[in-house]
Amino acid sequence: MMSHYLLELVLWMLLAFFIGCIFGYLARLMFSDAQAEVVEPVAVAPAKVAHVAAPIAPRTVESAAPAGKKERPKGISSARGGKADKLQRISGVGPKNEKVLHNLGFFHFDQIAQWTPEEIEWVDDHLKFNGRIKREEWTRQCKLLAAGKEEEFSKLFGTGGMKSKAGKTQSGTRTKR
Amino acid sequence: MNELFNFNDTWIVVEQNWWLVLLSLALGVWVGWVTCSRERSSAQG
Repeated sequence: MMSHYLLELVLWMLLAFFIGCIFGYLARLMFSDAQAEVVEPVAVAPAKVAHVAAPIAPRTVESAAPAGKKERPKGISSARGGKADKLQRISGVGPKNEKVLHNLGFFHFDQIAQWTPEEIEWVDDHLKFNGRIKREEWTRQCKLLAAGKEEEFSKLFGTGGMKSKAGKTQSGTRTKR
Repeated sequence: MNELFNFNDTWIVVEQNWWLVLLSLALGVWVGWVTCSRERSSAQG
């Protein structure tokens, strides 16, 4: 019977599809877990970590990196002096991204401010941001925040998690570009 | 009494159309992979 044959075929195809879905989902999970292990924060000797923000070398980080050249930026195992900067002040960074950055070993504005184009490429690719870091000028924002140029930062990128007059915290609201 | 389900009979269907079943499996793997990727990227916020 033809209809019976077709029904059986469709059932087998559905079964194969569902098995494939589960397999694909698990494979993706395993793949990303393996990737996460590779990018564990690099431990830095405490003596090397100064509490004071390191001077920021003038780099043209916004310029494009050569295609395909990616380099993992070096993170630290924990925040200097046990106190991390409020990375949510960066326009484009929310609580989830802040956690992700902490997991990668970035706790301070000066760390992000010193990312090279290759390092930006790596982080962007790793977090699948599709160019968000460059687009939102994270390094420029961090340079200003690390240097304490609050006024200039507010002018360019908004309040950046500062308390407004009403007393409410505004996370990285951009006012003017 | 007629047998309701005979595995050997139904397996012939797979053997004759193995490429369709394989295609479904591949499609399923792709859908599962993409679903997981999207969930993860939205969770990263």
